[in-house]
Amino acid sequence: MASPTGHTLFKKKEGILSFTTDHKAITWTPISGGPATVSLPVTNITNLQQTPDSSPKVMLKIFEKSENASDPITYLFHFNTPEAKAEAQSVKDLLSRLLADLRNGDANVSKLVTATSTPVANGEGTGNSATLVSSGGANAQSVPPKWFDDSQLKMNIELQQSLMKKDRSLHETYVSAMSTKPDSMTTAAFNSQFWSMRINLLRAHAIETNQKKGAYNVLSTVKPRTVDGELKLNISVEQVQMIFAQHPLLKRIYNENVPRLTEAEFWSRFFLSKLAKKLKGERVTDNDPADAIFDKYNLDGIMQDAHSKVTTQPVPHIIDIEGNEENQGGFKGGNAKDVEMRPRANIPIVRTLNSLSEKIMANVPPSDNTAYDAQGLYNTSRELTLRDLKGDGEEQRIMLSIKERNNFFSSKDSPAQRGGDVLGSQRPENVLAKMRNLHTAGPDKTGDTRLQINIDLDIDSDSDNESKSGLNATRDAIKEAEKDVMAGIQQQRSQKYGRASDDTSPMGIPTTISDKCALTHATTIEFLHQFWDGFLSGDPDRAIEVQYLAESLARSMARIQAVADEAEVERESAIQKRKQEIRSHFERTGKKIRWKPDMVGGGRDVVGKIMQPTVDALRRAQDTYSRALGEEGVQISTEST
Amino acid sequence: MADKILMTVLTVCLAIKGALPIWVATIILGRDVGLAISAIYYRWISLPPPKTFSRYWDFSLPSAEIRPTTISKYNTFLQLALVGLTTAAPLISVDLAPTLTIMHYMCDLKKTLDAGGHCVLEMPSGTGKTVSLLSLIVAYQQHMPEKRKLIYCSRTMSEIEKALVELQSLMKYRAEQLGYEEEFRGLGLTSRKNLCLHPSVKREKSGSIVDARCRSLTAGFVKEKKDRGENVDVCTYHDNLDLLEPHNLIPNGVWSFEALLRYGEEHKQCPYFTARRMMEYCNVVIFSYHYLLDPKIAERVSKDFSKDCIVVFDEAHNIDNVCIESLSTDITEDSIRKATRSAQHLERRIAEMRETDQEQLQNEYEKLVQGLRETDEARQEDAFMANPALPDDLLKEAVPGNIRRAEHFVAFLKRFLEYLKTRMKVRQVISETPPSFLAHLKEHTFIEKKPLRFCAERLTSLVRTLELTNIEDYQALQEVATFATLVATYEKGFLLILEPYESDTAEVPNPTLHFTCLDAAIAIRPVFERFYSVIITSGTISPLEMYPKMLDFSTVIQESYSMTLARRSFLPMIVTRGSDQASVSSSFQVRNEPSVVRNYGNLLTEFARITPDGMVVFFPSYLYMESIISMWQGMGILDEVWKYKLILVETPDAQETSLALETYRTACCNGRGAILLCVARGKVSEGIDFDHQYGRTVLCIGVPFQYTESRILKARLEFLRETYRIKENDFLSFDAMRHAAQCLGRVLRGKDDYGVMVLADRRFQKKRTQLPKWINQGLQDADTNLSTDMAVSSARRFLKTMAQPFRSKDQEGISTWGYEDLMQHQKKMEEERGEEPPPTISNTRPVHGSIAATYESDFEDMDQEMMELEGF
Repeated sequence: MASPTGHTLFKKKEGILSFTTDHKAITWTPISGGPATVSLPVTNITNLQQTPDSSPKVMLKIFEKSENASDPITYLFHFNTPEAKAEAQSVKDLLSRLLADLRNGDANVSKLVTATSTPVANGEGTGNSATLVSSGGANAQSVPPKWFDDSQLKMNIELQQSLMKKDRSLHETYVSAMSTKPDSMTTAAFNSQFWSMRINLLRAHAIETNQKKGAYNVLSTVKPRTVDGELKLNISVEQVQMIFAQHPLLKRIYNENVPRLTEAEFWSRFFLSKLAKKLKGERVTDNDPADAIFDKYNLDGIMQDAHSKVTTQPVPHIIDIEGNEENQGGFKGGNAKDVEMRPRANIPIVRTLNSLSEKIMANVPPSDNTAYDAQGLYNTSRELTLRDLKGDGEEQRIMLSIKERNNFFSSKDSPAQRGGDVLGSQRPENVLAKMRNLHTAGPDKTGDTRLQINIDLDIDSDSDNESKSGLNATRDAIKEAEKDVMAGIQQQRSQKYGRASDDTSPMGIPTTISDKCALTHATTIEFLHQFWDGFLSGDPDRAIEVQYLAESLARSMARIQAVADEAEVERESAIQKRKQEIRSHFERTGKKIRWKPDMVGGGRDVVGKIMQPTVDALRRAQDTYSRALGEEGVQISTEST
Repeated sequence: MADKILMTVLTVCLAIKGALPIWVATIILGRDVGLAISAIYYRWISLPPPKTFSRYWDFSLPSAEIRPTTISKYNTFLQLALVGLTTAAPLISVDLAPTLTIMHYMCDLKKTLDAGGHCVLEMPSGTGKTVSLLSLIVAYQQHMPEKRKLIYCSRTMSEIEKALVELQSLMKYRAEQLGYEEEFRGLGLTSRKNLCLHPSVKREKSGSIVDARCRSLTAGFVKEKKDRGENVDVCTYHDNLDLLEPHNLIPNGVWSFEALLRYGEEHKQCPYFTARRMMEYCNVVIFSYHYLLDPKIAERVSKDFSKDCIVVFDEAHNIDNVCIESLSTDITEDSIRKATRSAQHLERRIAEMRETDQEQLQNEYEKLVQGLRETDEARQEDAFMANPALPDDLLKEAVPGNIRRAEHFVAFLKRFLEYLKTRMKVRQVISETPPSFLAHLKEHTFIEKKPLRFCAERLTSLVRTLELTNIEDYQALQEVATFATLVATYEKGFLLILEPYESDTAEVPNPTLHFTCLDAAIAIRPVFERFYSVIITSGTISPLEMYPKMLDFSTVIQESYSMTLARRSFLPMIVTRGSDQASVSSSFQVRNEPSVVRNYGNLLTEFARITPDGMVVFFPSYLYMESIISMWQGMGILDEVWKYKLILVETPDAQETSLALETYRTACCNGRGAILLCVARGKVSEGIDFDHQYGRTVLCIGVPFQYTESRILKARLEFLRETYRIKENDFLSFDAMRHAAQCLGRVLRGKDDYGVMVLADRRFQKKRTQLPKWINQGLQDADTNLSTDMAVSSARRFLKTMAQPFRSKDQEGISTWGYEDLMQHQKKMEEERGEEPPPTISNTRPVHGSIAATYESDFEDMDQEMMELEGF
């Protein structure tokens, strides 16, 4: 709201203060700029003029404050006069004060710090108070959005470590990937590779860890205790900062007095003073001992000023209580309210509660923003709609459009289409029921799980225009595919649910091996990720990197092999053990136990089966890579193929 | 045998519970008893002799053999089925019946409209009452050839704005469904203060100053002066209106205040006068009760509405108070002082005028002699003040001779003021009827009743003649004139009470003369007489029969509807004890006891701890709220609450409260959470919704009784007992409970919303039945006598359940009906009706004299309306 008034104010300033060229583009730059300006030792005007980026902001702040009270123009003068009145000093002092004001305005973001009180408060307050304030009040805005910057996230090792500490599996993946990375790859490169895949995790973590407790009413949490007639206080730095942010008056007193008083004394005296009571909203009685330092300040003016902003804030009609009061058509009738309902004039606690809460919420943008939305109206209807009766929200997904779809099928009425017809004639319940049977039966029946048989898909019925042989071929192909799919499903199921519904040992692999498998899988995928990322980037600079990655792919293969071997060994030993058991059993009881080594699960084959997709992926990556290399005419320098 | 026992037990239980009519139970049981007796008898007579007692029980002896007949088997089966169904009925009915709340509501509305009568309807808040009301009436309006105008009255500006926005989206929906935009105009009216655009006038803080300044800029004579070339300030926004066609100041459509203000700003035209002048060209007019009830305003604003307008009083639970307010007034010593000063002013002005412009005064005199009051009618919208008496009570004759001359009138006023001043000197409470006051007046000052009645009108005329612009100076005089007119017009149902001291303990006298209306029916009677369909509706208007009684009218329908919800989405509880088992109550004797205050404080802290987001707390009065807050602060309870929530308080200052409310809402949206402490009869409890996150818990501390020591209240109670046979306690507790219910009802809006409602007072236990039906239904017996910790644990459980995801699918067919569900229901209903003649709807139609639509088309209408409803 300040920017349009900037020009008119500019001239006034000029006239009084005699600095001229500091009004340019006035923008709400991040607050981080604010303290920086403040920390500058502003000695004279020229200095300020030389920092055009920050000095217009100073002006802006002042403007805004004054605008809050009334008309911008008059208020600018008004703002200057008390300073001039206070001490008709050199322009230098004036400017330093203005800058201090800026800090206050920034830090409390709200316009809570009143125009009249701030100049005095900040006349004394230099850098030290500013830092205090900015840390207390403005956490909502002062947080630079560092988690929006990918590169910063990638570089932040601390963050990464804390994330890994939280997420064990990620840590394991990281370590194993780290240990198996090609030597030619630097740690830094690896790191950046690794984390660039996981930026989202990092970001989430960063945001999570940066969540801070919001502002709260500090004075209510500080409980002075009297021990042996002496007042004991536990007050932390954060609390002090928060107190300063919430009660600027106290900061001012602190600045004025603390070098003379000790810190501890300051606080203990404060909590005994009438001022503390007033700030807390407690009733002050005459019996309370008066404190020379604290009780000479009068709160009322500040309170009033804080409330003066009330008039300027528009409130949406649906919560406009004032409007409701005035809604009687101009004639107020009726008898006066009875004693109980007649509000008493001055209840300090009520005002304190409100103003405190308002201060705490001041740096949060109001939810009932009266700003007009796109349609030009405050969205009252949004508040009013019964949300439960609203229809489904519009779908936001991106449609996948396939060009030249026909290319995918041999002819218009392709098998797929007709297949649709066939499938259409099937009763879904039946098919589903059959499928379900199939699955509950488990992988033991793997032998003849042919979907077509199961669902009685009769392809012959509608094949008129295709030759028998062709049909057979298709049918075979379909059968093949189906078998494949079914096998895949079965395997997936058994991996997922285990044979004996034991999650830890899918397909009879012992837990240790399956964990290893999972880890190997994760690292392999990691490398695949990186490989494809590098390879598909087509960036010639990354050729070397891709080469390393390809190398690591080969190692992944080896690793899978190693796991498989280990599994085999494990299995052998299991079989041996079992055999031993049987033998001893036989020796003891003379009974033979029927047993076949097949009954022990696990082993190389199973691992191979589990890892098959991974291995396939690896193969494909390697093939693609070598082919690409071949096309480039480059010899594969490493031993991988 | 077992089945007999089962039957008996079930039947008896159900009969006791009232689920089964007593006569059915008697038949069932009686039959069995009869059978047993006859069995005994038959055994006896069929026993082979000798008939001794011991042989009677000897079953080896042959006797009559009993075999159940087929019919008795059927009978048993039917009995069992009946009992089984009855047992299950409460469960089933939840799923079947109340879903139709909205439809029943609309059907009943329609019946009322057709019958051309009045009705009182209570519909749970937050279920789309306003929109169903509007959609039905608008559909009705558009369907019928005569296009009856809808006058929709609501309480506060917030509610009016909400209704306007609802209407807006309704019209949008209609346009979508119909495929074309209907010629339709809907406008709302509120005070000048809320609709002013004039750059300096709108900055004024007080509404009456805005009014006064606006008049001084827009009055007819100001414009005349301007035309004469004099240098006077005018309002361009207002004057621009004169350039437009008078019946087309604003395009068709529905204009919310927000939109109206914007339109006004864009086209530089005054929104207030736009709305005001367009009132007669609107299909829907939405404004506050006062515009119909308060004769001072109604005369000017609502005079031109035709008889067939449909009048709706929404949120009408408070309507009797508005009626009473509109005819009551207070005179204080201060206002007399000011009035005396303005009378002197007037005198001076008259003297000046006589010197400069004798003609003008003479003119006025002539006019008054001839009784030509119509001559200035054209300018009447800007009149200084209107007659405070109801239109029927106005004298249709010329102003009496002794106050026709301006100077005579001012002298007359001064005499009256002097008299009032002497009356104020009395140091004891006096309560008297208007006739006795007038008699006393006449005795001492020879002021007659008749000129007194013309006071207000005469003053208006004088102010106009003198072309006074700084009208705000004459406000006090205006009050006195109002008082004079009222006191001379009404004899019955009014009372004058002079209270020399503000309270019983006060030392310094601050005399106030209350002229109070005791009978709410007086102000609303003209409305009922003038318009033949008046609908009174609210979310909390129980007990319904109270309103027709108090307002003295008869209804076609009065109905209270229950609520259908797929889940129990609100949890009403009555907390009667603190954790220490000491009972809590805000009754006058114990309210300030530390144990009670502490228990209330604990309740607050506990709920602050478990409630997510927003929590609203209502106190019975400002005084109590302030004292309890101070006490809490002293006890450190607020410090505890600060840990969980921000604390905001309703204050006497409306602006401050607005800001506090905004902060509260921000904190609720932001996740910080806040507590709003306010007063059950205060500003916040009227018209502000605390739905969803804005209010997850509402805590009602104490029964919000009125201050029973108030003399005005006592007088009113006495009047109610004597005139309408309403017992004092009945009225007091009715009044308290409607406010409590109003507070509770604020938290619920829509079916996805949920909230905890806590009534914390021992006395609520007995008043449970006075809660609206829908709240009472949700209140389980187990929850009516809780201690703080029990309430907290139950609330915690509730909030946990509510936090589970709730899909809209789950409630389909239960609390949400699609079109198919509705059609099915309709079919079912029709089957049930069978050969019965179609319902009364078509029978009552001829009352209007329009037989345009048949029954079928009625139902088409209904379907369409229901569809509209679903659209929201």
